[in-house]
Amino acid sequence: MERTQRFRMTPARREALWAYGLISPWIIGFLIFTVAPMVTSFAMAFMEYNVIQPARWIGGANYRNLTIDPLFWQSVKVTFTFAGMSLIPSLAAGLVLAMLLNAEIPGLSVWRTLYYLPSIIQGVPVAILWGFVFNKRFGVLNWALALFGIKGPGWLASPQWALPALAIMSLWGVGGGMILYLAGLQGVPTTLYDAAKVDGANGWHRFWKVTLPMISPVIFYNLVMGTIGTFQYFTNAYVMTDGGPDYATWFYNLYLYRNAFYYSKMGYASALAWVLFLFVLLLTLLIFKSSAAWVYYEGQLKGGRG
Amino acid sequence: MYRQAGLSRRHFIELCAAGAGAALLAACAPKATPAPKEAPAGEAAPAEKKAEAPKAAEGQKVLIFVGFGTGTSESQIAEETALVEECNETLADQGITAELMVTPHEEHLAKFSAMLAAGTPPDIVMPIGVGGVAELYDTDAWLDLQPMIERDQYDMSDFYGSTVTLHTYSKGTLGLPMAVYPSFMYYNKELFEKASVDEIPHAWDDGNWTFDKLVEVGRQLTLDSSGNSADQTGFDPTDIVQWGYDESWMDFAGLSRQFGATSATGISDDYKTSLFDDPAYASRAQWMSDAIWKHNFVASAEMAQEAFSLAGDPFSSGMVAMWHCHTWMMGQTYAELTFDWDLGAMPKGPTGVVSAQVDADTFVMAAAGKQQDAAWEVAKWCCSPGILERFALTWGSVPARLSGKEIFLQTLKEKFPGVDEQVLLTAIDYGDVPNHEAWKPQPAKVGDAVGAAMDRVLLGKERDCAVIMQELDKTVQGYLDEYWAQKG
Amino acid sequence: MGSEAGLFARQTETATIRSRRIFGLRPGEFLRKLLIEALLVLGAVAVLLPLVWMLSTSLKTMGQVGVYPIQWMPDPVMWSNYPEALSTIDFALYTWNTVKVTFAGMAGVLISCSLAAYGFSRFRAPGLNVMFLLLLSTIMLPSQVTLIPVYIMFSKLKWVDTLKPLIIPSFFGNPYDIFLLRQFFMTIPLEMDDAARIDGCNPLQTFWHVIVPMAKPALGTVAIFHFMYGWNDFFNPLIYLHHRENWTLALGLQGFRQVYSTDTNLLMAASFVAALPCILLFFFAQRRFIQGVVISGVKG
Repeated sequence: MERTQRFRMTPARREALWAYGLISPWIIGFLIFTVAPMVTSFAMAFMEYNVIQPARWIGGANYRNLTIDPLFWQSVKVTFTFAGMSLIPSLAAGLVLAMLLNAEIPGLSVWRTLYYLPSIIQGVPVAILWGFVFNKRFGVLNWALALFGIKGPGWLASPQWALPALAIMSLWGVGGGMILYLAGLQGVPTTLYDAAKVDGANGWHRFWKVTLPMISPVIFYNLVMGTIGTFQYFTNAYVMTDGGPDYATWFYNLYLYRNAFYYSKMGYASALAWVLFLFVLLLTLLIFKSSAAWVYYEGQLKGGRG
Repeated sequence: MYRQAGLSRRHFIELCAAGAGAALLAACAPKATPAPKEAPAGEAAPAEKKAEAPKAAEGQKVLIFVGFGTGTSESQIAEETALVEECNETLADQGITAELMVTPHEEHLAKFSAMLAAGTPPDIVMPIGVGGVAELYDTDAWLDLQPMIERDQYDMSDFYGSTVTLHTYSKGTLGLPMAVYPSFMYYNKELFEKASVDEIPHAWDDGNWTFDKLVEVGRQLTLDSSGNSADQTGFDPTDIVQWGYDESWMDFAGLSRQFGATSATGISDDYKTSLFDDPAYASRAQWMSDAIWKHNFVASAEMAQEAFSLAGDPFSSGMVAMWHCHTWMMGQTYAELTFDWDLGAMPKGPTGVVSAQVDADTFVMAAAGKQQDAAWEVAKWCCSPGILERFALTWGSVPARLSGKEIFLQTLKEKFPGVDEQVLLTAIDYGDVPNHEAWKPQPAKVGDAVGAAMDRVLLGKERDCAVIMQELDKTVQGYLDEYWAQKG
Repeated sequence: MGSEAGLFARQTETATIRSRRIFGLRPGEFLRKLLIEALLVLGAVAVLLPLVWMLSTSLKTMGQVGVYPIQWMPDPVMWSNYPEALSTIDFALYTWNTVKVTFAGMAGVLISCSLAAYGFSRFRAPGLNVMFLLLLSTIMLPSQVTLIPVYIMFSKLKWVDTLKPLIIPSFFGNPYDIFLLRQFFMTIPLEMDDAARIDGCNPLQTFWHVIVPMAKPALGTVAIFHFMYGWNDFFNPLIYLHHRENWTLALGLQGFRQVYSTDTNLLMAASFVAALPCILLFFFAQRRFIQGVVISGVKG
């Protein structure tokens, strides 16, 4: 009789091996490029570190200090206000746009390119461009408002209007979400729509009962990504307003960056980063938990992730 | 629907491998030794000499980091590169090669800190102002040059006296003076002519030129769209097309010296107390605020954004009659101004003080740099007579060498005929030592707080500057206390 | 699927009124599409206005840029701005560097992320869900704090001042694209996988023959997104590339900014040229990839 000392390859084990084999490049990269630096930054949060001299252990002092730091609370206020102003409108706008484009109208590729065009041009030149768009006198926005008889405010020069200005700017990138929604919408089989029509469903019901569930994975993705991105907002504030005027656009990530490199307080910056991280993680977990109720996957494994 | 080809998996893997391989090859393709691309204008060195310069790998490579101050525009880089090439030819026999590394100014700290943290700091940072030195002063990033100065018996007598002290700190002498940027009054001659107003004095000790007179002249030179000046009835302060005066690019605490403040930083000499509760600061801020909101001859923040953002600076927009600023623009931009302009002196403050803050640029060496002797040779070359002037002129400044005065005056006369360069030189004597950019605890945080206070003045949210200064004083004192608590 | 029967009282059109058809459509249909087109035009104008300003500015002299009221037509039209902008900075070199980074990165991302997403979406394994959560969590940590440790690591590898730190990490997957692809893979019905398995395909073959063809829109999207990201990435090249010979385009565009002023017209011209490859790529790629295969019910 053979002694079977070999490792038995059950179907379940084979499946697990395949899974881990496929994600192994990511795991390696994760360990090297993410885990190690994350652990380092976690440790740095308990130290005083100006990047140049050796770090000094100070325990939880950084975390204690941020609770009484007025600049910290200002950055929280600014970031939350911005999230409120821009997250939901951006998500909705992308979906509405995608639905319009999906309606079998002529010139689809042209429209799609036109709306995606703004998202293609990114980075510092865009921020500079928008700095001029918001100019009170010769900016495009106020020019357009003047066509309707509205006298536009000073936007980036005004403490009240600087943040709304940035929120408007974030809507400009609506094409990014639109692309994904479109791809999702085009994956919805027309047979479903046909069947629904046969059953007497009108447009609104078709949208609610067929479209939304079928693209819910895309909505989920955009929601998670949008949330994370909004709370990490940085480049535009950095280039256009640098936190001003009078701390009106003092974003969390901007304050973090200043601490890391201008105030030479890398330890404090790390603490700020971990607070943000834990908060966004919590928020994302909430979204995930809720997803079981509204996200529908056609290709979902039984007992798998939802 | 799908093929079941026996070799499909192998094909797939082969394809991926080929793609990945090609990509990696592209990434890892060996690069030619970097050679400067910009053909320097007027390069004197003959071509043969270049072939004899030692290969970078053999000799000592000194890395010069540009980005802490000016020097990052394309034309400046071209001139700096040419100078570095000359340096390499001169130092070739010592086996030293210098290399330029340019970083956009906005991100210089992130890049520099990363390099330092990885243990690969640049050897020299140049140009760097007093403020730049202050950014990392507390981290002991900069090398004390005094030992090397004494060892080589470096002659410091040729530098403007005040400039040497600007770079001397309790931690040592951190840099050799290279460039000085005095400040003074630019004024638009055409606007004065059109309004039939007498030009402002060029003499720095003119007793009649006071801040009150500045208000008067400023109002005469501020016009609304109907041509009314600010001192006439019917003047519409919401529709101004030309302003009499601007000083928005100047450091506030430095400006306060004009009204008798003792410290150009707003901090006491022992770094423990905020001096912003001193009435001199409040009265200087109040003068600024009244100039905008009461007398209407200075642009508010919103007006400035509308009118000046494209021109780059208020004066070159042609809409400001008098502008208090440093020499910065005279390096490149002001050669292209389309109107007649000249330089004038700053007025006397209410306590009898005439003050015009200066900036000063130098080079510093990283304390953690690996080849300090080689870097010192390069630095000395850059500061030598004849060479230092060329750097200073590229950066838009006055060379810090007294012997460089002639070259400087000549260049100025050629570039800006009709401009009284004597004003500029005399201005150096009225500079602020200790400097407004000098180190203070938590320099960036304090700077942010002062900037926010200035925002409030320029936005007009609060017209009583005593209130603004009180808040500023409290905030700054908090930062100072925080700093000393950490130290202790 | 037919379960909504009986919930709706409205009847579908049974009596088709033989009315006039406009462009082959019934009036209601035509009106609807007209309305949609009108909305789209309005939206497009709003969205494109800043870009039009950008183009207009790129053809002006600096003196004309800030003129009020806005002059949309430059006068004179400074076509020379473009050659001037392109020669002010070493445009060709920067573009070539950027091409290397972007294309290599695209290859890396497509390979590693699609395989990983396949693993996350089509398999069960102990701890896989935890892995996925870890994946997502990596997006949430602000990059500023991992910057220094990662830089130190690359510095020790002597990869600083080369293009390697910008390319190699993409071969190890990145969480954004893995997440995106996983979501898309999960919309593909499992029956197709099962059919393939029954026919004897191993998982990689299933991946290649089943998943990849059906996920073409998603894969195309990921490729395009990564292209945009690599093309426009500013901060990573800033930190890792020392000598200007190695600079990418996003970094090189900073050459138009001086400490106290910006050549706005030249910067706009250069930015437009820099964005052209992305625009063209998108326009042509969308026909091939994203113009999706609408599955009209033929499943297997």
